[in-house]
Amino acid sequence: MTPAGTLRSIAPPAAVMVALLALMEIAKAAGWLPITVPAPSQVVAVIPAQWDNLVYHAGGTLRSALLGYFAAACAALALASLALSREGAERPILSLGVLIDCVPLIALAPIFVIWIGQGSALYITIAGISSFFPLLLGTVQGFKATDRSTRELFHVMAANRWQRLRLLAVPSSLPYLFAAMKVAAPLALLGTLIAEWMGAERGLGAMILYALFSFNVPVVWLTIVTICGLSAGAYGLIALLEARIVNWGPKGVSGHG
Amino acid sequence: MTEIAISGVSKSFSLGKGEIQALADIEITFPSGSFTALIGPSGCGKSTLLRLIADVFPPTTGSIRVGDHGPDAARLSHEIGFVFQDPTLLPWRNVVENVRLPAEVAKIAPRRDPAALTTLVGLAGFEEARPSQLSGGMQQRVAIARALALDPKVLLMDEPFGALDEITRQRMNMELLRIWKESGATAVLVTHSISEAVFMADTVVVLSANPGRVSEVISVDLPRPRRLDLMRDARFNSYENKVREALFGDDMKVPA
Repeated sequence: MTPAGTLRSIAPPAAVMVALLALMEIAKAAGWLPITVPAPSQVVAVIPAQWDNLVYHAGGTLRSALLGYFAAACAALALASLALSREGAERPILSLGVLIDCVPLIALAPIFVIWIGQGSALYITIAGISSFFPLLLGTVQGFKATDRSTRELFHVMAANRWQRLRLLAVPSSLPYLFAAMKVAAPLALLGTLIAEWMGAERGLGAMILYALFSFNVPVVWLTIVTICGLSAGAYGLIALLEARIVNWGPKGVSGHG
Repeated sequence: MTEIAISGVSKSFSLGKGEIQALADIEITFPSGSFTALIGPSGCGKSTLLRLIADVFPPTTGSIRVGDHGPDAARLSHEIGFVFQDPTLLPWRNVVENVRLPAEVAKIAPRRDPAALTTLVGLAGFEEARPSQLSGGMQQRVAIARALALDPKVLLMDEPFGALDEITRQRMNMELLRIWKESGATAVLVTHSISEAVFMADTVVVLSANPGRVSEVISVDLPRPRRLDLMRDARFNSYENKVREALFGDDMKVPA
């Protein structure tokens, strides 16, 4: 995309955001908003005093989310390989994934507090669980994304297992993997936040609770905005990576010309 | 010299509870360096027969010899080139990289230069193009170049131009004959088209369905190289009619 093209694609949503913020500012100044909704300028005003605090807590959350996400990706990869290498293993493994996905995290978190106690291990576990299912589904679908003729081609060429994986299965799966990774990244952050609510000392979940208990409304909002920013940033980063790596057009392995 | 000899071959597939017989008592020999067309109605097992020669799966009974050995040994020593109905190109590789794929998999130097093969199939200048940038006909040319990359002794084609329009198809057939002649491979072409079968082949094998059996073997005694004006020839038409009669049998008879 050209710089002008990038500008054209970014300008409309940016304009809408700015307009909304301005509207909020005006509404607050006119006294139409309750005390629980601060003006955007009030949120910005607390940033200097809160900066170190924000970085400290955001760092904790990011670390847990990243580790959980990574663990979930490894588990998804291992289970997807198992699902597809053993006849009849796919359905039970996917069912297990659905089951895990169906249990509300907010209900699951207290159980894990009892099992593994407070601390990083808890946040990482919950982050992993909340991002696991889309990663599993994406990996399984991705590994199945080759058509019969192409598999036959590799057979006729006498490709070994490793070559099939490296030259066919892995590249074919990338569009699916990236789709899953984009969905799962914000989920890992969400999971971390929920786990931190169970009583953390560090993390954005903890920061939001402290602010809430001291009725520091602008800081609550600052935390919320930061979480949104991190989620969107993680999504954007993966999307950028995808655009770099999956650059072969809209189709997967080419079927019909 | 690579003769393909098929004797007493039948093939059944298990389908849910039952079993379906795709081929029964197939007995044919494809002489070394010949061009054979397999024609028949849908479900007559012509694609199955092609896949048996390529060792995609083994026959249920009977035996197949490709040159001096079985299909498995021929496949493992990279003597078989296969062109599918779909181009089956890897979209993340450009044209030359796709043509080079068989050599890469076999971990040997390409027996034919990928760039020269790309030129041979009429795609000079498109070496760096991605499949998604090519038309269907061009993609299928890449697939043919790829099948020739290891200079196969056997070239198997499963309706390679089935998805193309009549005009492109005719042109591709002419080129295919030129490429085949130059390669010296034993070629087997699966097709739905009577005129294509007669135009291309030394021998047209007509199959009937349920289960697939050889109903007639027609040798086409027409001179090579074959040019399009051959299609106006009375002999060409009489061969077409022979194939047509073999395919439709009694339906072709004039009602009394």
